Amino acid sequence: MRALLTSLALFTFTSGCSGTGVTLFDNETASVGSVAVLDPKSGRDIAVLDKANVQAGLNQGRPVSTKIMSKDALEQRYGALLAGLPEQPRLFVLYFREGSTGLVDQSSALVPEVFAEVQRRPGADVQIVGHTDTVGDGIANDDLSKQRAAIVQTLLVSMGLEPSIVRATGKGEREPLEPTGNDVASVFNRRVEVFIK
Amino acid sequence: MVLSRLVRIMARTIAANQFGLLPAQTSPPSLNIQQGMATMRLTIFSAAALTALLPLPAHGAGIGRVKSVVGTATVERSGQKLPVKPGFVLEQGDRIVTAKGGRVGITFNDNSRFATGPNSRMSIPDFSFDDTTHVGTFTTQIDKGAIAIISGQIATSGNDAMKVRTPSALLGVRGTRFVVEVK
Repeated sequence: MRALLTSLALFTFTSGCSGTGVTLFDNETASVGSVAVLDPKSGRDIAVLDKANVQAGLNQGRPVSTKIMSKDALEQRYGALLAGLPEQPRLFVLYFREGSTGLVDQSSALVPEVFAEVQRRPGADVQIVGHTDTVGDGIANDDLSKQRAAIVQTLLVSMGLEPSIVRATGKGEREPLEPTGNDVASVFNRRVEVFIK
Repeated sequence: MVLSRLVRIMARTIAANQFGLLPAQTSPPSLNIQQGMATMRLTIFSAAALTALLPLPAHGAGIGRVKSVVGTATVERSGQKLPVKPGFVLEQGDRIVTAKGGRVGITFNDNSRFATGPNSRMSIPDFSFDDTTHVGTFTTQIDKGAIAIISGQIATSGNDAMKVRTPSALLGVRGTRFVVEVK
């Protein structure tokens, strides 16, 4: 039944929109994905939207019907709504000298850009996560990773960042970017990640 | 040697698939990644970094933050009507209401992003997200109006872990960018 409804509906191009419904769009970066209309009691699929620009009517008491919408019609109807979606979060990665809370020069030079990015974003919040390589023992590296995160936090706050929107944590050597054995120096793992939403 | 190392890390990135903005089997070029070292190598390494940065606790009890407001918008919480501006921290149970001409943009802790249209009323009766495992549940109720959603980590964390309810229907969100309108 569902297959029949879907196949019938998909051959119908339309520029009109009904009332209550769900419309799937293509994604900025990823595959289209899908949205399922579920039976509220069983949770089973009644219909699945898995193509861009497909719309399903969800009007009470009527079976779910899907149709492909023209891009123009969708832009006209939902363009302003979609334009209101917040920006993607942005990640900066800063690197450190071995066994140290000192940033490598290139990363130091990047800090003003990190600050500018936070300032540019209204309602921003900032998550700072420190990491180490596997040189030294795990407990010392937990401390070092937290110190690295704190250094970056202090730098940003000293530039004028509102402290309440920043959170700094350390992960020690648990989450290497470059998997290594124990006691291996890795420039890639000695880092702080600054995640700006 | 270097190549095999890169391949290993990229494989790990794909296997981990922890970043809500990125689907499996897709390289992550669209994130604006900056790095302070040699560009060529780090373009790849920075992509891998996405897998490592995510296990973060939420800010207090907050489930997300308002990023943009146009016109008039309020949050109803425990019988109070709170004015909304960028930076406003949302909590589970909040109801977001926009007036005529009002719009709100929100980024949630799992990196889901919402945009509500004018004359809209929606609430978040359920939001839970474990920053370590990236597993959670997320239910949005839309009573009227329109909302655009780009799903985040919760949607990829389990089968229909992210749901949207309208007065007449229940939706299971499996990604990624969609609009729900309730007349």
